[in-house]
Amino acid sequence: MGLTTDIEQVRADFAHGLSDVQSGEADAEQLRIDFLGRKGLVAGLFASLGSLPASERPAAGKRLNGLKAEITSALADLNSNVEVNAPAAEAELDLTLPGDPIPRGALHPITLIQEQIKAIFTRLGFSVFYGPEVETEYYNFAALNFKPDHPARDMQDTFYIADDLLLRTHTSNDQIHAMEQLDPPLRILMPGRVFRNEAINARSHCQFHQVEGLVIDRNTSLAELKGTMIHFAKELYGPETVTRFRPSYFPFTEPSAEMDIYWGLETERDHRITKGTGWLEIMGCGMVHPNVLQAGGLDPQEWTGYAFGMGLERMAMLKWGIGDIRYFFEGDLRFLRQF
Amino acid sequence: MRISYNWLQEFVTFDQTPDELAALLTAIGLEATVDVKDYDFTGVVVGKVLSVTPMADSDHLSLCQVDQGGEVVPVVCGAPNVNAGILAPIAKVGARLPGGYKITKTKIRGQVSQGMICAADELGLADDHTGIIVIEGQAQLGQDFKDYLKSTVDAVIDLDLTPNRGDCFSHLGVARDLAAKLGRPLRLPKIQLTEEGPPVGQLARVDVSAPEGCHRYAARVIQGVKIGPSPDWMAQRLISVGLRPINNVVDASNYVLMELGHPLHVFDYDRLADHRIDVYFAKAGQKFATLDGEQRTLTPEHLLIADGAGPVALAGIMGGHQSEVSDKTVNILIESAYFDPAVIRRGSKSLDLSTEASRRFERDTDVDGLIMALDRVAMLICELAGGALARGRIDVYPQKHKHTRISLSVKFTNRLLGTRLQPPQIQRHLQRLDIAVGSSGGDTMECTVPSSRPELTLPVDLIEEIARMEGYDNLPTVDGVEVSFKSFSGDAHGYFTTVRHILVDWGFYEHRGNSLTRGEHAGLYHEAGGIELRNPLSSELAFLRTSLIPGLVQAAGFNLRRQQKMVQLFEIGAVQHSDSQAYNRTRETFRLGLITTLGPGSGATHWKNPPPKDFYFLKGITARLCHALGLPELQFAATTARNLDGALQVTAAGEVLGILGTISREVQEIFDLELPVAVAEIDLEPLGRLRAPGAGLYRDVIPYPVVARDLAIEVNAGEAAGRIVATIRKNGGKYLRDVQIFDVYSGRGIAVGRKSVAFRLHFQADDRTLTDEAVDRQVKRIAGALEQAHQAHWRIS
Repeated sequence: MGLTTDIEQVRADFAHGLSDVQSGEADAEQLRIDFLGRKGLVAGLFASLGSLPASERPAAGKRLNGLKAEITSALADLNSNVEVNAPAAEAELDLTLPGDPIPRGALHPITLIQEQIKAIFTRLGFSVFYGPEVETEYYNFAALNFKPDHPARDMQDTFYIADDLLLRTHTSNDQIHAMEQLDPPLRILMPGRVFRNEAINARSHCQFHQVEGLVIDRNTSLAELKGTMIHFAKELYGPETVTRFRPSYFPFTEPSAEMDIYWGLETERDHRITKGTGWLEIMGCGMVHPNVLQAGGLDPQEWTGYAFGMGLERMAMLKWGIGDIRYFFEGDLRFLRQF
Repeated sequence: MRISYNWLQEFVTFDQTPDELAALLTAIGLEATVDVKDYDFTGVVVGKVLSVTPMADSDHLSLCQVDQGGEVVPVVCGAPNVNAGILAPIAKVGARLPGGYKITKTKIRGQVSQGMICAADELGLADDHTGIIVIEGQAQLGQDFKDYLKSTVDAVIDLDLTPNRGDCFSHLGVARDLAAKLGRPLRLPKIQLTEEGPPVGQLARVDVSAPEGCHRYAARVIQGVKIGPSPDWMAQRLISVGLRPINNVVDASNYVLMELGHPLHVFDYDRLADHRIDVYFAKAGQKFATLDGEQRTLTPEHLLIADGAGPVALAGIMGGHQSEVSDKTVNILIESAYFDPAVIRRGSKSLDLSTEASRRFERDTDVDGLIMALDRVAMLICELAGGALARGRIDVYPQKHKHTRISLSVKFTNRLLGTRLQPPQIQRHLQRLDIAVGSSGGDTMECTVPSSRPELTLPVDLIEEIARMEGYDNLPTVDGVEVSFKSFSGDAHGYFTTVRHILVDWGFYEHRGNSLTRGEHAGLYHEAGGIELRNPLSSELAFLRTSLIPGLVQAAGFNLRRQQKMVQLFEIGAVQHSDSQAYNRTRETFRLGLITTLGPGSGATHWKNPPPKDFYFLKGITARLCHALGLPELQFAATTARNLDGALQVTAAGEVLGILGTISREVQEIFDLELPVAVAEIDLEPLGRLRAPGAGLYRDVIPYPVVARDLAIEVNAGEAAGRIVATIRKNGGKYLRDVQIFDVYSGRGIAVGRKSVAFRLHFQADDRTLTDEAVDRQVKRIAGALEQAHQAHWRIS
């Protein structure tokens, strides 16, 4: 029966302490610690429960819980009184301590660029279409007017899985899928990951991201392609952006063009990245080749189209001055935190 | 391809500076940059020698008065070619010359000298030290000598040619395009031959046994040549475009290659058995030693040039050692042939042997132009090496090339370009490019393409030519587009953006890992392993990933080894598995991968202690993400999974979404991780299909209070909380709205092998206030059911 006595003793002690606090002779917080603290008197009583015979434990436990509830409630009352009587201990709050460090995350720079491009083109009525990364020789090359044994194939060193199966070297494969799956007119954007069998170093990687665009309608023209691309460049790089178009070559477009923007020649870096010309290549584009329209099941007499494509890593490297393409795929938080 | 500015001037007259020329070539599709030489000197200007007075006490030194642009200074010079009135580079006092040499004011034989008149070697321009440089072109007094050099000394233009412009692999080819653009005449090289030898047919014979590989073979023979070094002008030109001079005969053929673009080959006539040539495909396994000293094993796709005894050259790619022109060569046979581009490309690819010749043949060459190249090189060799040119040429040309004819519609041209070009304008552009335009009937122009442009085959090819001549930047540009509603098809991955933004808001960084991985890694989370590449860069990048988890674990390890201890990453990307049913034999799925290091919670400070991050953090993230997307409530079921400890399978509406768990000790070791990490991988396809953001109807807010009851029970330690909750829900009656677990406890006060679990139950009716009695009765019923189902003992409520 020692425990019962102890309980009563603690109850009496608490009553004393409480009156001392109420008369201002003792501190309320100290009282709480003495009785309810981790090493306080009530905890001590709970600890001694274990030494009781099992049959007596439930009853003793109940009494002990009762005591704890009493003390808790008395202290709560005391606190509410204290708050009313004494106008707070605000002086003890150090308001200069920093706020909670809310964790921060970030989108990948490639995602940021991709979203920006998607936003510009969806405003122009483009929809988004996706094709596969593992592709047949047909969709990646033959249907895009790449002739077998033509040097154009050297433009894109290819990873092969089998004779007729490969990792796509561009998102242009999606052009054929889109023409097969959707009815013209088409205005689509095709973002995706592509692969080239190229050594990995600061300037090149075996994987990167492209965004491809395709417009098919009855009367699209090079003039519309130019207008659309110029609008895009101004949206992305600012309204003062100066562009130029020059002839280029892609097997799947004819005429083919390259769009450059004027970057300037102010710094050493400007000279390096523009090879001293001040101009920077931004994307390839052109009028869809009639053989490609035919491969997509469209009559080149009825439909014309234009296509364009750009590399996102290159654009991100220019935008943020990133000097090494490998950063994009390492997952280094010191890199990712900067976006 | 390197083009010499001066050399180009031989074929067309133009006024552009090298920089302007490069811009112009770029504008017509020949991407050009000026090869900028870095001159290793400063402070050198164009000066004028006003007077030269021989110095009394020297046999070669003179005292010169030099105007270096407004200031006349005395300079002592020892060059024999210094004369009054000449312009020359003057290194002023303070100038720095190659090798760090600095010009100062000095006294030579008692005479003050303030500068130096420079020889070529002193400026690092050449090895020549026979005299000072005498500037003969137009130069301004006082002009920086570097600027002068850039403007007049032969500039080299680097061309980055697209594969369709094989015709521009020569000065003449570039000049042809340039002349067309400028509207200036093209000057072909003059060819005058003196045929003093016997008829060529008496000296050699050519057969073409494989006409499908060799469409034309022409040859000439020169007897009695004298092999020696080339003259300076030729050697300099070859050096300027990146070729090494060898001897007059070989250099002449390289010169013509760079000039006209057609590859030629010169054989030592006396080493050709029977003085005869045949062209045929190799036999499988046949061996041949090429000029570069390699012994090559051939297949029937390699075309050979053979003499009476056997192969002497890999056609269109590289010659052989035995018939090579040497110092002792006296008589030569010159080959000028047309080889099929695809045959040369296959041969060159399979041997991994690319040469100046093969690069041109595989881009297609001018089957008619090869005669001019043959005659031109014969003329040059006779000039430089002497010898008697045999009369006539051998020309085996079984099937004469037919010029491509294209019918071009003016209307279609204007439709495709968005222009309003008139037929005469179109005709003028085409004719300048040597494209003959025949009588045009109505809308159609009948065009004939010259043999120098074999890649022009379709109307669109001609339209590009017209656009090039107009200038792409001069073509019209629309300022608006019409959009058809029919073109709208949405964005099937649009919700990926939502997922990304939610995770970023919760402190995750987006990762984009490598799609290619090691075979062992591809097999860590997928039994069948991955799809293997046939020609990988390395064994580390040989398989397509089957799961995003290994890449995320690798990235976590990368960060942990760089003092980044709190890693929370996600990735959205494709994984690939074999699928024989699919057209590309691949099942490609987009997945969401999540990874977090376990340990202290984010934002832990000494004055605040957020809960530590453990597996439940990722479980909570997963549930919360799916909730945010409007998915039906998730079910988590314990499962066993490769290389995951404590794995849970995540399902919604009976569909498997993915898996989460803590990576196994083994994987932690493979990736050298010092901390355990939890991962989740969710398939985005069902996630997209099941999501229903904002679905369902609004429900009225219930005005009656929620009655809460706490229920603490003691159960066996192995009893799963999830199952207890299910029992509570089942027996909660129609007013039970919510069940939350707020405490799990074992230890002191709880019997060994048991644990206490505390729940908070919320009851609410939508038409009245529930009475305490009714709620207490329901809680009792729940407790009773728990006792039945889980041997639960009701503790304190």
